[in-house]
Amino acid sequence: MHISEGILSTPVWVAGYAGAAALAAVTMRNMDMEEIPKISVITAVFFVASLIKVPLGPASIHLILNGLAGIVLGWRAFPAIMLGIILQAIIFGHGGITVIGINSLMLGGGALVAYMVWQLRHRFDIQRRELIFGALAGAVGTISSGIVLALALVTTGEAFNAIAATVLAAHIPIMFIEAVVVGVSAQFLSRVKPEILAGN
Amino acid sequence: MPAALLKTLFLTGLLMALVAPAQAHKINMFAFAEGDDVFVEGYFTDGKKPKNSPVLVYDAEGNVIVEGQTDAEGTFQFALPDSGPIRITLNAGQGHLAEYELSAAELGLGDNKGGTNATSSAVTATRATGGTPLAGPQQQAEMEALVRKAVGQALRPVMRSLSELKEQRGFSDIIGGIGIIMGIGGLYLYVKARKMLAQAKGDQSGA
Repeated sequence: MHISEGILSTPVWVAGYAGAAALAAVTMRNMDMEEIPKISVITAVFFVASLIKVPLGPASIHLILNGLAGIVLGWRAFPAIMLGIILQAIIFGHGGITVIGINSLMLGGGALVAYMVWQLRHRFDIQRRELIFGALAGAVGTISSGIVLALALVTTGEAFNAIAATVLAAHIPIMFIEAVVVGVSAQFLSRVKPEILAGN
Repeated sequence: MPAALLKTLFLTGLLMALVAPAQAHKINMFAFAEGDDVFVEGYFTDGKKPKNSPVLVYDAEGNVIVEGQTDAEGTFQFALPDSGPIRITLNAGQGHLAEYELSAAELGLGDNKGGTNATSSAVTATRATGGTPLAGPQQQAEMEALVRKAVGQALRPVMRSLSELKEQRGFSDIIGGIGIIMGIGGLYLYVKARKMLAQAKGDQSGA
């Protein structure tokens, strides 16, 4: 899920850069030394995840894993994803240089929403809440990115409802897969190493 | 923390083991002059075809000169324009757009309009004067057009492979990217550690 170069008008991608820079500045405040290795590893996971093809029927899809970044890194997921996107753009031509800002807002923003959903688990006293809220975070990470994508495409003159429907329909399979992957990871990590998860 | 780090590293390793050397869902395209037409083909890196996707062709001034749609095979053809360079875009929807530029030379157009015609008529003239002419000049022109077309069609798979090769990034790029990420993390830690050390030294000498 990356927007290509040349689709959005200049004011839109410039606004994307401004928004991404502001969010990065806020989410990077007071970063601790101990957080850096964890952030680096999750950045690498995100960077690689978009390059893995999972065959699905006649086509194939790739994981986004911004939800996973959200539940492990919390607010720090934003700078992590932004760095991943910058490298994907430079090394693989995934997206493009001008759309780094808007792609960061799309995928990094999804990670932040996933983190917020993940934090809601404290309000519920239920069994397997890590599994349930991890899965919800994974699904929400994908959906919110899809909504940002649809919003960005609206500026090109497409009708929101139509483009949102297409984008979301295309991301339903990936949403379920992300939910399973992030849910199982959250469950696993909460058993073996709970302190690695964000927002304990 | 080291155990956790090991686990995440293991996860990374697992993911990397599954990496295919190309990325899914990136739209690529290529175009080349084929006889009197320009042939355009788009494809996703996972092999899907962009069906009924709008294709726009721009001239050097940025005006749209051709507008069309790809067929079920993700291909589109239009008549060779009068002048180059041209820029072709293919919008596969949902934020996927590919661009391709063709220079005047790649289009088989000379610097000035009509360059090709001049050369081909020169060829016809030489052939007509030397030896026995096989056919009249008109038939010869038709023949040439047919040959150009046939050669162009034969070139399609080659052009496609070339374009795929240009886009394909290998495992080393992925490892390189991970190295850059780790390097940036390391650099950040180095700067922070220096600051902390300087502070600690300052505290010591102060005490």
